[in-house]
This record gives sequence, structure tokens and C-alpha cells, in this order.
Amino acid sequence: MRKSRTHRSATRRQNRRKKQVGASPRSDQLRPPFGRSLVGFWVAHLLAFFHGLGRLAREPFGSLLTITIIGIAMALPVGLHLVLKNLQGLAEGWDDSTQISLFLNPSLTLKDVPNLQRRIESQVGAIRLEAKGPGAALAEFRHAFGVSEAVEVLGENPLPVVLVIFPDPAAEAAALEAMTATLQAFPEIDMAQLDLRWVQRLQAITHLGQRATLILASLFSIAVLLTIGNSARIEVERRREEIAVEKLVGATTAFIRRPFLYTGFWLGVTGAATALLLISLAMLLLDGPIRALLRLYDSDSLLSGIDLPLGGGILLAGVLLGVLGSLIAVNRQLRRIEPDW
Amino acid sequence: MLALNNVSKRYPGGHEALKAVNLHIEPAEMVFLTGHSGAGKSTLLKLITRLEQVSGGQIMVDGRNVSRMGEREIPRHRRRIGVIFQDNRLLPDRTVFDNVALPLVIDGCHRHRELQRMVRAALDKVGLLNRERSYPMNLSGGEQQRVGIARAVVNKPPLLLADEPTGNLDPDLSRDIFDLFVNFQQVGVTILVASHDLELISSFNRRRIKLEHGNLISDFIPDAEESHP
Repeated sequence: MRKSRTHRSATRRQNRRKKQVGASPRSDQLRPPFGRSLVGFWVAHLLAFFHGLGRLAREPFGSLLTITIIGIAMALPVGLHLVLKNLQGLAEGWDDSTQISLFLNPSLTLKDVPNLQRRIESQVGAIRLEAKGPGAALAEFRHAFGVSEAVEVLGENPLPVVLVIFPDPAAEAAALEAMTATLQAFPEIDMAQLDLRWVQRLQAITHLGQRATLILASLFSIAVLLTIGNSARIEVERRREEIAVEKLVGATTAFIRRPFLYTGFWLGVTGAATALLLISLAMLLLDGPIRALLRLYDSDSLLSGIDLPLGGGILLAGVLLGVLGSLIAVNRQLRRIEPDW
Repeated sequence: MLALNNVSKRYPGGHEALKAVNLHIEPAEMVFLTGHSGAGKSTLLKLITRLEQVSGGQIMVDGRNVSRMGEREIPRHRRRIGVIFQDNRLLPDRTVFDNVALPLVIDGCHRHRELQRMVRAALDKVGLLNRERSYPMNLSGGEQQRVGIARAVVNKPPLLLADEPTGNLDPDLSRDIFDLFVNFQQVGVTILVASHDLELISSFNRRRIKLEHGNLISDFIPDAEESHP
């Protein structure tokens, strides 16, 4: 009896306390002061940030596999982009060396050149012109093609005097072709050759390559998105029970989603870093052969690699793809998990 | 604390789990919900936690209309209700401490000292303070269920729901669990326990309501003088 009374009064006290609290309608919402504070917000994100990394570390093999796939997928379009960039650099280096070569009739010598130049200029205007005697041309031929033995066999020098015209670099291709046709009509000139087409072709090819790189980059971005989305999907599936319990005890979708997004962030960043590493490795391997090739083309332009904007852009792309990929997958997947008991 | 007005639930396919149920539970009341499996006990609890939406009628919890809550309000609503499951629903890869701390972390509590204090208080109430570093699978069934209870009460919800909390336990352990509920009632928590262990229930002199085929067919209210043993 005595015991019962104590209990009852305890209950009454509790009820009174509850009523007092209940007097303010939003009091129980105010009860947890944490959660709504700015510090709490950042702490929650910081925790999820490392939690996301921890999830990757718990599955090292699977994570490494995914990161490598992302790295290769990102390295391929970036590598192609670099190849094109270097090709373009090469083409630009030759741009102002667009030239018209005039192979003169073999009966003419260097002494006839000034006279001929005057006649040409009277027709096509002032030009910059360089004359190569047969000797100089042969030396150049030897140097460029390494066929000195073959030349020795010929005995006498078969090469004519060659005039090289350097037209205005801004001139249109059609104008240059017209000029070439005019020059071709000169009886002293056996052959007039416009060395323009291959530059144009190279430019067309690099333009095509750029377009292809863009398409490739888009496709591989989708591949990265899907890879990250898929690993997020698997992770959600693996944690189905945990998510159901979290929903049951009142977790918001944002709370449940957060560690998955940070896992996506980490996958994207490490995948992009892997891509940078792979490209750097490839450049290192290609450096020697490319230098040799450039020397052959008398080009001293350095191989252009990953600069700061490109590297930063790749990392940023990795982050965006990672977060976006997991966001899409997790949103889709979380809707399907309805807590049940 | 809890009011159901004409609540009905019809599932797609036509099955009527609840038919115009009316029920009012006062704060700090402890109520047993009985009935055969399929009578609608679990459905009732799911409607209260808004795991499912009513087909008709309305549910009020602590003055809030549950049936008219938007999606964004539901998580906060669930944090004000502690739920205890038959199979305890503990996360096997987390320690007892981390399992119990989950509702607090979800509620945004990141101050470790505060978290520790509240988790230990909850574990102390269920008598498992010394097991906070264990993993659920290293505990007995009764201990696991008590960890589940600690998780349900750790953020001091005003309402506790238990769905067959002793379904997997032997009679002695079951009594321990119910005694724990009585303790919570005594500090002002409202408790609704779904159970078909009639023998055990009748040994507690508490209000009993019975569901049958979705109808509330009896509401036994004991003599007020004896409602607290």
C-alpha cells in the first residue's frame, strides 16, 4: 500500500513535469539543441566525409577495382585530348611555313633567278622568296632522308634550282591555289607545288579528333557515372537492413544519403587522381620517342602535358561525376526501401 | 497522448486490416494490445509511426495529426516514438553502444560527452551498462531485446510502441521485459504493447484492448486504484 502510494506520487510528479513541458507547444522540438546548430551541421558533414572514406577502406579490393576502372575511363579521353593538343601544336608550328615550291627548268641556274623574280612579282605582287641551288637542295635531301648512298649512285646532281615562295600566312587557300596556277603557267617553271594541303589535312584531322574526343569524353563520363552509381546501388543494397532501421528511428533521407554521397565523392576524386597518374606514366614512357620524332621535324616545341587547369578540371569532373552518380542511384534505391517490421 | 478516431486501413487488394477503430490513451498510460495474428495489431502500430497511411479517420499523437503529416515531418515524428520489435532489429556490425546511440546521432547529437551520458543512462536502465563494447551476436536473446529497448528509450520519447517484444523469449525473460516497461511508465512514458501472451499480460493489472478482424472488440480498464502494482 505504502509502496503503491510512492509510485503513484512519482507518476503524478512525472505527469506534472510533462504537463509543464507540454505548456509550450513546440517545446519537445526544442529539446534536442543539437542538430539544428551550424556546428552540428558541419560536424555531421565531417563525420559523413570520413565515414564515406571508411566505407571504401572496408572493401579495399572492390574499391580499388572501381577506382581503377574510373581512372582508366577518365584517362582515355584526356590522353586523346593531349595527343591532339600536341599534334595541333606541331601543325601550328608549320603554319607560317606554308610555301609554294617552284622547280625550275633544269637549264636555268641561280643567275636567272632575279630576272624571274621580277617577272613573277609583276604578276602576283611582292613576294618573299628563297632560292636553293641544286647543291643546297641535294644536301638537304640527304640530311632529311638519309639516302646519301643512293645519291652517290646517281653520279651527277639531278636536282634543279628550286625557288621557295613564302606567301602571306593570312592568305586564303583559294588565293594560294590561284597563285600556284599562275606560276605554273610560267615556261621557266617546270612544276609549282603548293605545300598547303597536308597542313590543311592535319588541321581537319585534328578537328575531327577534337570532336571525337568530345564524344568519347561524354561516353566515358556516362561510364564513370554508371560505375559509381552501380557501386552506390550495391552499397545501398548491402545496407538495406541498416537503412530500414535508420528510417524506423526517424532518420531523414538526407541523413541516410549523406555517407553514400561522400563515398561517391571519394571514388570520383581517387578515380580522377588515378587518371592523372596513368596519364603522367604514359607521358613518361612516350617522352623519349616523341622527342626523337620532334627532332626529325626540326621542332623544338616541348610535349605539352597536364597543366594546372587541366589537372584541376579532371579532379573537379571526378568529384561531380562521383557525387552525381551516387545521388541518382541512391535516390532511386532509397525510395524502394520501405521500413517494415 | 494517443487518439485514434474512426481509423480504418484497407490494403490494395481489398483486405481490411482495421475497421473504424476508436482509441484514446492518456499520457503515462500502459496499454496492452491483444488479438490473434492478423487481427490488425501490427497494422495499428505501423499507422501510428506513419510507416503506413490510414485509409480513413485520423490519428493524433501528442496533439499532432499523424495522418496529415507531410513526408518531411515524418522523420521528426518517428523520433518522438520509441519502437521495440520482436526481432529487436539491432545492427550486427555495430557495438551495443553504437546501436543505442543511433537515434541520438540521427537526431544530430554529436557531442561525444552528451552522447555517452545518454547512451549509458539508457543501458543502465536495462541493466546492460557493462556490455556497451559487445556486439549484438555475443549477447543472449533477452540481452539483445533489452539493447533494443535501450535504443527505443535513449532519446526519451514520450511514446513507446512494442510489437510482440517477448515473442522470442522464455517466460522469465518476458516478465523482465514487461517489468522494464512498467518502470518507464512510472517515469511518465506512454506505452502500447502488442502481445498475445495473455497469461503474462493478465498478471499485470493494466488496460487491455483486443482487436479481432480489424475491429476493436474489448477495452478492459482496470480499477484505477490498482492500476499501478
